This record gives sequence, C-alpha cells and structure tokens, in this order.
Amino acid sequence: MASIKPQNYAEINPADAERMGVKTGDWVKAKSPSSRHTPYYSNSLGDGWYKYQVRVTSRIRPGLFSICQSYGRFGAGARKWYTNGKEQPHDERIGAGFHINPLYMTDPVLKNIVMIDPVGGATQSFGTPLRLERL
Amino acid sequence: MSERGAFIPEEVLEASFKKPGPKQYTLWVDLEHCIGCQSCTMGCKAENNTPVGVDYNRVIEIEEGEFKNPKEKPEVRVYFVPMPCMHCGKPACMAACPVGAITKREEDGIVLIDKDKCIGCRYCAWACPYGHPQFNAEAKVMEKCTLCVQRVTKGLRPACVETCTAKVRFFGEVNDLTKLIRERRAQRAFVGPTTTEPSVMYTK
Repeated sequence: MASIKPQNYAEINPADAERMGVKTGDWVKAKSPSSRHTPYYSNSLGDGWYKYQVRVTSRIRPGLFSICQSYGRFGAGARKWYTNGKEQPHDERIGAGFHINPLYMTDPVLKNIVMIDPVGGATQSFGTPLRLERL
Repeated sequence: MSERGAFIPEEVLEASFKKPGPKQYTLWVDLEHCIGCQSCTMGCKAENNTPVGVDYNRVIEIEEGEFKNPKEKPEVRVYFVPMPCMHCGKPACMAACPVGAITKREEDGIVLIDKDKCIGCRYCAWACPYGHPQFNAEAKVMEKCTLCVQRVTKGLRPACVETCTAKVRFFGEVNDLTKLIRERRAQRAFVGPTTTEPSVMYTK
C-alpha cells in the first residue's frame, strides 16, 4: 500500500478551492469545535488547528471536507519504539499522511467522548462543522 | 453499456501461444468498467516481487467534468487508467539506452531490460513518453513491466489479467485482440502519441 497510495489527501470541491484560493498540493488548516492541541499528531499546529494537504476533486459535493482514514499512524512501527530498552525496527512510510481522529467532534454534554450514531452505533464524523483556512 | 466478459476465447489464445514466429502479445484495458481497485498492481507486485516505489503497473486517475453547483446534476466521470508498459513497436527506451540493455523480443514482442547490462542511468525513463521504466534503488538497475514473461512463455496469462476483479483486462495476440475489439466495440481509443507505436489498447 505504501507503493500505491503513499499518503492520503484532504479532498475538497473545486468550488471551495476557488473560494479559498488553493489548488491540489497546497496546505490548509482545519479546526473543529472540540479539537485541541495534541502534540503526538505530527500535523497539529496548536490551538486545535491541524494541517492537511489538499486534493481538489469534483467527486465530492461543495462544502464537504473528506479525508481517507487509516493514514498518519503513530503506532504500528511508524515511529521509534523500544522493548526492554532495545530499539525496534520502524518505517516512517507506515505513518505517512494525516490522521483525522483529532477533528472528530466530541459530545457537547459528556465531553471527551466522540459522538455516536444512535442507529449504527459507530462513531460519526459527518455532522462535524469545520473551520477551514488556507495555510 | 457494452457486453461484459469479452474474454478472448481459450482456443484462440492457445493457438496464439502455439503459433511460432514474430507476433506481438499485448493487453486491452476496458476503461468503461475499470473500478480502480488496484488489484492488478497488487497482483503484479506479488508476482514480480518488486520493492516499495517500483510498480510495473500504475493506475492513474483522470477526472472528466466538474461539479461545483450542488443544485445541478453532477456530470463527473473518473477513469482509472492502468499504465503497464506499452510494449511499443518502436520503443523509445530501446533507442535511448546507451548500453543496449533493452531489447524487443522478436517471438512475442515483449520489451525487456537485461539487468546484467543495465547501468542504471535512467535514460529510458526520460525517453519513455509514458514514464514507465522505474529505478530500483536496491538493485541499482532500471525495471519495467515484462508482461509477465515468465508466465507467458509457459502459456499462462499475466498476473494482472488473472487478478483483475472487474475482468476488464484482456491478454492476447494483438491481431486477435483488435478483432475482438472491433466485434465488441465500434469506438476505439489509443492513449498518447503514436510515434512509438504502443501496443496496449484502451477503450472507454
């Protein structure tokens, strides 16, 4: 997979891209109502802003911000890790791309728990309002 | 929508394997039904054991149309174009190679790189209009799609054709495939300039 799709992109519609003045390959920063600075995410800029690389595509609706999951990992041998004080092999290509988890909106009442779809029971990200700015 | 599963008949393929003398094996990719699942790339990687970053078969995406106003009906079409080696009639890579490591085989038309002769100068990658040959940093040689020569000489289809989930890749002798396309499809499209006479065919 590292060979076929080395990293993921934040996909936005050409209409939004025109408004923000970005093109494919540019960087944007995004913030959700509950996102916080998390130092172990490599794309965290502080104060809840996270940076992403953009791919402009007509495959999604205007007004949407879409990111492929399963990239930007910090476990699974993507960073240096140690067992019994010995360094274990790691490969930075495993952790390429961006993580979307910090942008998920947390439950406004319960705090620190992600919103759950009442029907499916899965974590939901579709209703998260995002603030997006050009970097 | 056209007919699916337009496989070249088994006996025709068998006959082309048995036929001696100069011929040209090639692929036909039916872009209308290609879903971009990349299983050809993975099958190729498994068969040829290529390292990360060297893919004999890359799938590029071409987006047609724009969707900007959500009140209008979106008219966007994405084509996934698998780009194996075109096994050209006049390979630009062969002409560019300074040590003569690239040859086009008479008996099956496959363009091959002799890895013992290759000095890794990457001239072929620059010369190829499709940018196909890739540098293997581990072995310090250029590598390219061999049309699974190890399988084809045994009378088998290439790995990418076997693993195609949507059954859009067809393998065969170029004349048999052209005949098949003419039967199934009136419209026929070549990709890229024809100065190198690419043999791989695409229809959409």
